[in-house]
Amino acid sequence: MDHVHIQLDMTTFLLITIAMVVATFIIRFSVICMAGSFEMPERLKKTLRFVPVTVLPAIIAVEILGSGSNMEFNLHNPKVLAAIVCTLVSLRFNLIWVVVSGIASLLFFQHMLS
Amino acid sequence: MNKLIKAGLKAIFPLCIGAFPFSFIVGAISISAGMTLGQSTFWSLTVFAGSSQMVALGLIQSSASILVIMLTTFIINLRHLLYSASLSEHIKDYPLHIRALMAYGLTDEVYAATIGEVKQEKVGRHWFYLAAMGGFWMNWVFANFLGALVGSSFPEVAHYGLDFAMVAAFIAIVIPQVKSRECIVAAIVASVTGILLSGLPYSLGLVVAAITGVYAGYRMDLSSERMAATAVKTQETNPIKPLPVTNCEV
Repeated sequence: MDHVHIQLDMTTFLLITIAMVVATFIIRFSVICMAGSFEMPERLKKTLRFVPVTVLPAIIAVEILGSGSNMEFNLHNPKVLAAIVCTLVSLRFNLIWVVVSGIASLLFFQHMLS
Repeated sequence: MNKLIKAGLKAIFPLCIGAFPFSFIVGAISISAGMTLGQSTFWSLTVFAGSSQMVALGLIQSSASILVIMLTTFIINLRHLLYSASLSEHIKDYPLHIRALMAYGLTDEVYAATIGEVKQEKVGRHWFYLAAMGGFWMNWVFANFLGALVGSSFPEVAHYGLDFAMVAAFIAIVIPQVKSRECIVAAIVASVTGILLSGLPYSLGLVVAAITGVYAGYRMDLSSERMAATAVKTQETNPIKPLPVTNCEV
């Protein structure tokens, strides 16, 4: 990342902030604001349970393997190894230990593979 | 109420640790993108959307127009539409201003940490949710502030691997949820699609991956139900146990 220290002028900054707040809030509030005024079909409710188990694995996969041409899917990628450790730890221990073991094993594998 | 607030804070705490380095880095980069310490903190406090903030900083540095920044934010956050739909089902009895407040803080982490509890529809569950959300929000702003304060002197902070904490937290959340056949298929389809489309701009691949995965899960549901129905029919002539209908419970 290059260090061009141009200060954002206040108007541009405020416009960017407002634009982003509006874009984010519209989506998050969209269905919640209509809640109760219509009955969600059973089928939709049942299908929505897939949301967390699709979004999170997709984020994880891209984060670990990198995106586009920078992709690295092999055992020389320390993040792949650390993710395997995290998965194993998560079968037995709770979140905090998964995070701790994840960072520790990533540092370990980065050191080993460099 | 106090008990619920404590439980909410406890549920979000590990995710705060996971989000801290991420927000720290966002804060650090925002300085090099031209924000002041005050602007950066205010920005995190109001926008409260990590991946969009990260991408927006890249756009600001390449002097993209405000309209492009807004559209990109919209696309990156489209996945929150599904969270909104999922959450609305369980909070529909609350007045609009409370729901608006809850929607305002509906991030990946807050959704992941609270949906299990909110789903049970116990009285006062909004305290649990608002505590988790508030805790996460304060942590987010504080980490951003620190990142903006000191992170700018370490431009390589993003390479230290600390952002992996976020990934680890996501793994810990998702693994216990992926139990049934339907959920496993949905998760695999989404991951593979996400990887294949990771080259698409603005994290658009993530949106397509989620939709594809959810669709795969839906098709799996239909076929499982058909099999269960067939098993019931067979049972009438040949009494064996019907196939169990499995669920991925959060």
